Amino acid sequence: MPIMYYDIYVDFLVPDISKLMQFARELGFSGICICTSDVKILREISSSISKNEIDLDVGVRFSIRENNVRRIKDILPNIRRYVDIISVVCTNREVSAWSARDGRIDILTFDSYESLRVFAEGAARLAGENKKAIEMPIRLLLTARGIKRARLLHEVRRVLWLARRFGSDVVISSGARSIYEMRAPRDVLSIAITLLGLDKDTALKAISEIPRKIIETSREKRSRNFVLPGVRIVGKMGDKNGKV
Amino acid sequence: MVKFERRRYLAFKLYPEKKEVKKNSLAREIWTSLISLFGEKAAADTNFWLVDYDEEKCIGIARCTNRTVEILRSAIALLSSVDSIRISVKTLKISGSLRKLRKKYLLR
Repeated sequence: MPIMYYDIYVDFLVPDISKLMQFARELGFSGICICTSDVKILREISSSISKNEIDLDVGVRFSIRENNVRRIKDILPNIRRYVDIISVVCTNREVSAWSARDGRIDILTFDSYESLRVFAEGAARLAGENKKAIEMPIRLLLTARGIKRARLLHEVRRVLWLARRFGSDVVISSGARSIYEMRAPRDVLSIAITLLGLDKDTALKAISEIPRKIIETSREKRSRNFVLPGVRIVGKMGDKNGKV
Repeated sequence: MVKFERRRYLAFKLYPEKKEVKKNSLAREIWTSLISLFGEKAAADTNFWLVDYDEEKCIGIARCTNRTVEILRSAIALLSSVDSIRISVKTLKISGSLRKLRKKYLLR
């Protein structure tokens, strides 16, 4: 069976979604997640995705970037049912530790050198205990140069090392804001091996198995038959198909 | 006879904003990326050479050694622009034979 590659962080800022999906397919992805931070445009994204005629699994992702835990608590109940993935940018220690504990959040992500710096051992331990994935967008490395990139690489390696040490899943995505920031999955794998300090097996899982599992689990949770992880309604008494 | 190193050829496709990317500029950008990411020693170890670049098809063939394929691949993947033209890159194939790649992608 061929490996199914996923890029679960493509920003909605990309103007033409159908062109983006076509390009993702050309690069060799089996699925992508279109990400937004604006609740108002979630419906717009869903309608664009429903028109999708390309053989590509497209999901919706909501990224929260807040400095205050209370603000995140306000946003979460309104969106959890409508998106496949919810991620939180680690803006400070409090946010990263809280997000690592909360069951509604799937991924902890980073958007700058500063956000990488605030991710400490405590948050990593909580993320590991609560089975949260730690995401590394390749865009960070594409946009930085020289000393800035060298310092960034050090922090990226530190965060990934912490994630693996405490048993969190690692996800590598593009974080692309235009199609020119997307890279082919096998090239991302090379970057992960040579620059991010991951072994081949972990890097491969980070762009295929783990992102796919996150989307599938989330979709299962959102389905009407879901009761608990591992428990779902297969039929009801009196139903035609129900065998109870 | 034991060879000093084995060569590998890497075919890649650029997706530029405009089709104005020149071979020399591209080679210079790849060198810069190699040196900036891996240092002069590792860049020298790759024995990099941009063998071919078709400006129409935006397909290029780069040479490196068998031990440095991943290094060259990530250096090329981390190119973000050439002469201020934004680009995306995809590696098409890696082969030990230049002729095969030329035949397949450049129709030569």
